[in-house]
Amino acid sequence: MIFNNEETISKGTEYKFKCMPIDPNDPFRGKYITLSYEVENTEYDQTIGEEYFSDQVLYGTVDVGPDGFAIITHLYTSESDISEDYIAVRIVYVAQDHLKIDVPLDRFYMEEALAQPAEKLVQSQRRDTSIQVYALVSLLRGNPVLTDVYVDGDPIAEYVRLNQDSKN
Amino acid sequence: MSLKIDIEELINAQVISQSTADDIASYYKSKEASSSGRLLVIFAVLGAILIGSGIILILAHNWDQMPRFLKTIIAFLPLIVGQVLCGYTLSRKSDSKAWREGSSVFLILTIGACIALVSQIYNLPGDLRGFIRGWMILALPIVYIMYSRMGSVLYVMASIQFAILTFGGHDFLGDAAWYSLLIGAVIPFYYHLTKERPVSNAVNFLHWLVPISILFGVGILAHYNEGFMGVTYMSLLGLFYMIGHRDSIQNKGISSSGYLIIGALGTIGLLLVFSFDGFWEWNYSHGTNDDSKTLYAMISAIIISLLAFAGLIYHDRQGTLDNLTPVMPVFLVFIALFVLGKYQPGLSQILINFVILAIAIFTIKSGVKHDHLGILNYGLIIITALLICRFFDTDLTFVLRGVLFIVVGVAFFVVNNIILKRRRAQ
Repeated sequence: MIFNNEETISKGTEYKFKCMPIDPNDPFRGKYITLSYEVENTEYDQTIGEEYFSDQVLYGTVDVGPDGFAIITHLYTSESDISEDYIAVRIVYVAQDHLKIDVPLDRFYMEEALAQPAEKLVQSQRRDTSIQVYALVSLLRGNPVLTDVYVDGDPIAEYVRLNQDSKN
Repeated sequence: MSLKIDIEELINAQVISQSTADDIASYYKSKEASSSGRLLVIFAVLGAILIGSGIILILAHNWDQMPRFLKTIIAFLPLIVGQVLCGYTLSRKSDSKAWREGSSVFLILTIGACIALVSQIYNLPGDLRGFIRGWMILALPIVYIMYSRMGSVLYVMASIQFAILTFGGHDFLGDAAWYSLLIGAVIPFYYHLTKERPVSNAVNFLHWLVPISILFGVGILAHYNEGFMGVTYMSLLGLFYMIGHRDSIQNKGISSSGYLIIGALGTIGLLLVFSFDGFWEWNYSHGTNDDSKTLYAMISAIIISLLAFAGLIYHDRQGTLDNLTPVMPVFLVFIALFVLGKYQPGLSQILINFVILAIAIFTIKSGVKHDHLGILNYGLIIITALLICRFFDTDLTFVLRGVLFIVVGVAFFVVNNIILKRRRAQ
């Protein structure tokens, strides 16, 4: 698993997934921020003839949208026929004519002193649409590795420290 | 020191001979040695737990300043140290309980630390349930290889956590299968431990933790299937009660009476819950329909009931009913009332109240017969609990309720007084 992840980081393609962080805690594994992605807010069309159900795993092909951020172009039920970069996602619910999905890369671990300020800072600047928050994900053969989260072009930890320094 | 003086005094008074005095002295010396050995084991285990917990807490701080390769190396360091310690214990200190328990507990905790750190480094998704499951799978071989009693205690505690985390999950069948595999894997070790050291701290802990774990584990199937769980739990509690009544476990103190106490209190508690009419209405509106998911709950109810029935046959293998107590066949009565309750819930509810009253009366009678104040008062407490429950949901007048409480209160005084007078007379 470690070798696969290292290979993905060194040889995979990087994609920027637009996201918004929330700050919970894991007693064993430390402080992290939960990420929710813009691609999860999109309604995806169902393929005619396919059957879908909640919690089903699908494989979404990933491409770069016109704004430079990652989009999911199509959802497949099997990964065997996919030649482009793709990511495994989970169906959250199946509506009459569309699907809502969940991207599994929902955790980014941070130093505990920075996680909560990170969440508050980003939430407070939500209305400023010029500030972009995105997760940098490396993809290789369907294996995604979340390497960092960026706010306004800076890694989130750096962004929080800079804001804390400017307030002091 | 005082023992030495007492022994000298007894020798001088020619109460005991010198050889008897030497035997007494060497007996007490060996007791001291075993108790100090036990103390060493306890401190070794405590030390290992503290060190392991400290490492986990430090790791939870998030070392985002270091490069990834260094973090990965550091993630495996405690694990390697733990494995070296266990290897050293097996090769050089295999007779030392302190080394066995300390090194195995340390290694088990470092496994969790390693998984946690790697998850942090690569921001791996995954819930706490999967983390606990992976930790347990990797810890299990250590329990057997190191013959670690505390390791098995930690393992069963983790199984309780795993069962709780699965509640409400979508894949309840997969979770139930995993739970069964995980708890089943440690049962042979537990069984061997009860044979080898039936009276020990670890076995006493396990006598409490294993039934608690199984109670939570059975609850995994409760999702969407609450309807049949009454039967499942009543049979399971009856089975625990019967296990607690086995000669190998019985009469070895409260610390080893987990099965008995959980079975007895759980049975009465569940009966009291089913003594409310609202519960019968709720029970049959949840899960007891043609939904295929109910099938799994029904199968678990049947299997556990059959096991409990086998336990009943075992206890009455002489066919005289002398070895049976009032609580043992309650699950059979409950199954009958449960089926009746689908058609006549009101009647089942009333009969449940009579069952509780009957258990209370038999318990009081048993307490008087065996001259045991604890059992006698337990019977009176059951009646009190029944009265309190009926206080809330019946239309009895306040006067009648007051009279009933006074009667039970007087019974407490009178019956206890009779027993104490009888003891003084003897």
